[in-house]
Amino acid sequence: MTLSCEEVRARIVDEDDAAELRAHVDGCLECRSVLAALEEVDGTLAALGPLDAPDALVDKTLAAVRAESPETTAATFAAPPAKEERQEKPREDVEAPSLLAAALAMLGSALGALVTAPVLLVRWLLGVGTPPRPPSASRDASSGESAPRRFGLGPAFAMASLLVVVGLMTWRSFGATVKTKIRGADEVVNGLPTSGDGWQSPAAPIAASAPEEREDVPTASGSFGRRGGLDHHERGELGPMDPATSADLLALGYAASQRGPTTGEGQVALDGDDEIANGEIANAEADRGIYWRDESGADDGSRAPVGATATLLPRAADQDRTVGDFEERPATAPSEPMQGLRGQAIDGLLEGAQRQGPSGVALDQSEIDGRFASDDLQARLTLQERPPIADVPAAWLAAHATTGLAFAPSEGWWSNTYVPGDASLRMLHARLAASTTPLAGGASALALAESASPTTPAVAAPTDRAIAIGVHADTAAIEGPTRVRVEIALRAIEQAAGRRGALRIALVVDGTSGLGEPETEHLRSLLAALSRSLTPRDRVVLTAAGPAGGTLVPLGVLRHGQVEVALRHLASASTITGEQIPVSLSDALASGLEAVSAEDDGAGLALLVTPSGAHDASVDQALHLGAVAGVPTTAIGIGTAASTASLDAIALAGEGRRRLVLGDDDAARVVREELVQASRLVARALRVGLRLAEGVQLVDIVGSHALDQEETRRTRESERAIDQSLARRLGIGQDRDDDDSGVRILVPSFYAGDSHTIVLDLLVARPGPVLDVDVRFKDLVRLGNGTASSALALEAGTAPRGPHELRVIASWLGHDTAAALEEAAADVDRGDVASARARLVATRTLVDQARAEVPGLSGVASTTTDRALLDRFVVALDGATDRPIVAASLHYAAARRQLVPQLQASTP
Amino acid sequence: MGGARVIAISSRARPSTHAGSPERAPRPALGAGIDRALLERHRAGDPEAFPALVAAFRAPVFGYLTRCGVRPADRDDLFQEAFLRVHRAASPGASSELPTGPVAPWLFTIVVNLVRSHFRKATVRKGTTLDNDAQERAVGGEVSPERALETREQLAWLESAMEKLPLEQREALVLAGIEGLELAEAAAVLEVPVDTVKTRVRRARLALAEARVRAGVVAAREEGR
Repeated sequence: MTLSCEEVRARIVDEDDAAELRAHVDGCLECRSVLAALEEVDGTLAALGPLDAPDALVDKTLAAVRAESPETTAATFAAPPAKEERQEKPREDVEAPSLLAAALAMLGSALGALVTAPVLLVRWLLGVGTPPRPPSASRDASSGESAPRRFGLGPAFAMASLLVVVGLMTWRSFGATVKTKIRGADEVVNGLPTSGDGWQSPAAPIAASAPEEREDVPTASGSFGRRGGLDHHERGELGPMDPATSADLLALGYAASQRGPTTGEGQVALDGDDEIANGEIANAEADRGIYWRDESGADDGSRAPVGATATLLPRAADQDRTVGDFEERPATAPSEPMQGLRGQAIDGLLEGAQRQGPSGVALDQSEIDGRFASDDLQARLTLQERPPIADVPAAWLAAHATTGLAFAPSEGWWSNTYVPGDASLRMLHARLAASTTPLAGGASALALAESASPTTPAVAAPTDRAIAIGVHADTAAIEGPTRVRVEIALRAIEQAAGRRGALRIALVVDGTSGLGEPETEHLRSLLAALSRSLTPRDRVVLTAAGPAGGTLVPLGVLRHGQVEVALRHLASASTITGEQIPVSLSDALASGLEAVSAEDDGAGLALLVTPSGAHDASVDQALHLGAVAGVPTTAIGIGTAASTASLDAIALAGEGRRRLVLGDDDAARVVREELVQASRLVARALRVGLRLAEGVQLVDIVGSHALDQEETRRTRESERAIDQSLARRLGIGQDRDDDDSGVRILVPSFYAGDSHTIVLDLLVARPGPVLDVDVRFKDLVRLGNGTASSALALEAGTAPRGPHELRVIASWLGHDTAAALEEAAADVDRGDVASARARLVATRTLVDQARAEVPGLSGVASTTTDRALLDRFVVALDGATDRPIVAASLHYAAARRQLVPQLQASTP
Repeated sequence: MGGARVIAISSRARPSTHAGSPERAPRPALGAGIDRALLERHRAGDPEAFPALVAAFRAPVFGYLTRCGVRPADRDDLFQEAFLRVHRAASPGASSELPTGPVAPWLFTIVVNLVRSHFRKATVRKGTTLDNDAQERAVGGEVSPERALETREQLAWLESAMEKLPLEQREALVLAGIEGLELAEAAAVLEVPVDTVKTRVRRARLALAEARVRAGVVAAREEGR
């Protein structure tokens, strides 16, 4: 059969490689020219960069959006309405005028329509009063068409319809008003900050809520509304909240003040240790519960005097729902004993809710039904003093001692602490997510761990290269020998949008134990999902292990026919005789990895599809080599036979992820997430080099350790392998044969949107230069060798700490917190809860002392979060019944404190 | 791999001067990390959410409008209108359903419909070229000056050649071939089967290649070598 040029080109474009096509092309100059041009067009298409919109256009667009929604984006958060608009009124008062107006409008519209339509209908039928034709109608008449009689009905219907429409629009507007009103409340509630956001209710808005200024607040004996946002109520020690949000909280009754019995006014926010019995709150620690405003009106965060009492009278209000994670119980009599309250769940408490968990409002938390307390319910606080923090801040002093120190060598390689692809984190996450029993203190194991998050580094994300660095110290000036903490911040380009580059995907199927029908179907789903998700430039190779193993589909476009043939071949494994030598999994894996490593176009990715999760040392070796060559391997279990442990082991060795496919939906999700994940890589082989100035000694690199000889050899081998691979595949010049002086840390891969900090503990003898920092990296954004350099010097004298210095201290405390959590987790793993508790308490003390010693540190949100995190884990340990879960939560929190893992990769 | 791209002249091996081509830069998927949650935040009144959405999609949307041949004056209007529609659909009180998965296909459905509607209403302008502003703002991989010149010429030719493609091919090519939507996503946006998208992309590529040959550029180069 003779093929036309058109058919030949179309098939070749579809990657068909039939011999007849080759024969045609060999003899057809025109086809060869077209195919050569196609190659050039493909290359040019791929080189088309993104076209960014001018900033002015974007600003104009955002302004237009803002203009359309002043009530949501502008008023709610940015510009609070006038005070009188914010005064809470009974809902009936607010809605009645709108309701009346809407009803009147509807009634008017309906009457108008009823009266007008029949009259006009009769006029139309009688042909009376037909209005003059407009010019267009005249043209119709002149062209010989008869003028339609119903022409006169148009205005009639139009008028009637208009009236109806006006009525409906008014009604809709009314409905929208109501909806917006309710939604507005939810928005603010859902947006309430937690203690992790460093929120405190500032003085001014609270002062504005004085009882005499609020219509709905009784003034006789003081009053309380709900108070939101804080789990730990150390007023004056949390970061500021913007006034607009505060005003919104205030307007909704989430913050209120109380007229104190004798000395001033205060606020109540209760804690998990507090109890209410017979209308009295006992065990309410002074430092947590009540904050006082003295008679002079000064609001300096001072606390109520121990032994003070105050009367609570909940604000009278009814609302059909609020937020909070307290339990709901039927309303109880004021005299009924009540126990267990925390934070703003005070309303739930006063109604009798029993809970011990963290207080109610959290970001993105779903609504939970609840009701306000009744108007006449009263309770009285009795305050107890919390044991004071030790007068001598021993931990803080020890952390700043300049004598008796052991120094680390300032030459050599240190371990990397940026491990974003750690599959064990996903395992921990899945395990914690599956745990339904709350820890002591009420928090779920996962929620508690997820309250840990890294300190945002003090460096902006780059826009024109893959990596940017920032170097800051915890002080700007010194006078003599001083312990200085230095933060080296790495931050990757954000690249939240763009196009995915071409991928080379090795799909390796473990058929050593044969594939049953369900497994084959899962594999088919996976392949179908993969086929749907590919772009025209992606290439796939399919290899298999087992009796029917080998390279089933060579590297190229994945076509349906090839897939079907391959699946049939795999299914026929049981009929293959012993003459066929089975292909081992390591060979199949190595073959697939080699195919995708050898190709120059795009990033590589291997997917090991396994029904059993079986693997041995040779498989692990192949996985490791693939990872070193820049091709991570993800373990995909099909069916339920594979254990998570075995899949995790594969994922860890291959620096990939663990997946499970049990159906079509899973297959689509797995493929989608894998492709996204594989395209986030923006830099490789980051070599962080530190050269200390004279007179500067290295005490420690927090969280890292100096590598021994063997570890150094493996690190260098890994760096050179990446160097060579990228030179071969992407044309990025080799530059890692040499070794630098000073301290070096190798970060193998860095992903878009990520940031990471390295904290140095130094002893600096005198003012002047401290260190130089050079970061060399393989820039996959610019496709070249990238460098980023910075230097640090300290001035002579004293200088107050600014935001950068405070952030460095917070970062250092964060590393200490992470280390303490990890060590405590190891203690719990060993069954030594006492040691774990002691570690956490010691670190908490250090944080407390740091906050007491360093002005302004209390305003740094991450330090507040660290303090709360340590406190909660102490409570959790005190009442731990499920120690493995507590340990897992500690492990996960420790890791999250350094880097939030990408958990789209979690297993179903 | 007998195919080894079937024939020598279509081998994917590239001359060394092309080694630095931006095509090898791994880039995140379109709208990676931008999902329904961002729209929900916007609907919930988070003032940061919508600017974040615009920041993530400003380049893809602008690029789509430009490469689909919308004139600069109209392009700016359509750009604004697209995001306004997104805002209306996701604004507090809106009754429309938010996308359940990634935002990109949903957003591009809006953009594609806008462009189609625009072309239906207006006479298709021929000879539209990139304005200087857009060209200056095009961001790609950093390359040598020689390669940059060569690339600029090729890009200019390609941009003009793409304008001559039928709209349906241009849509498919820009979405699946340039803006990085997966075929299934592009199919959903264009409301056609996946195979149709494949076909349109293939036809577009072939049409461009044949245009290239007709322009004599390839032949001239071969002679020059």
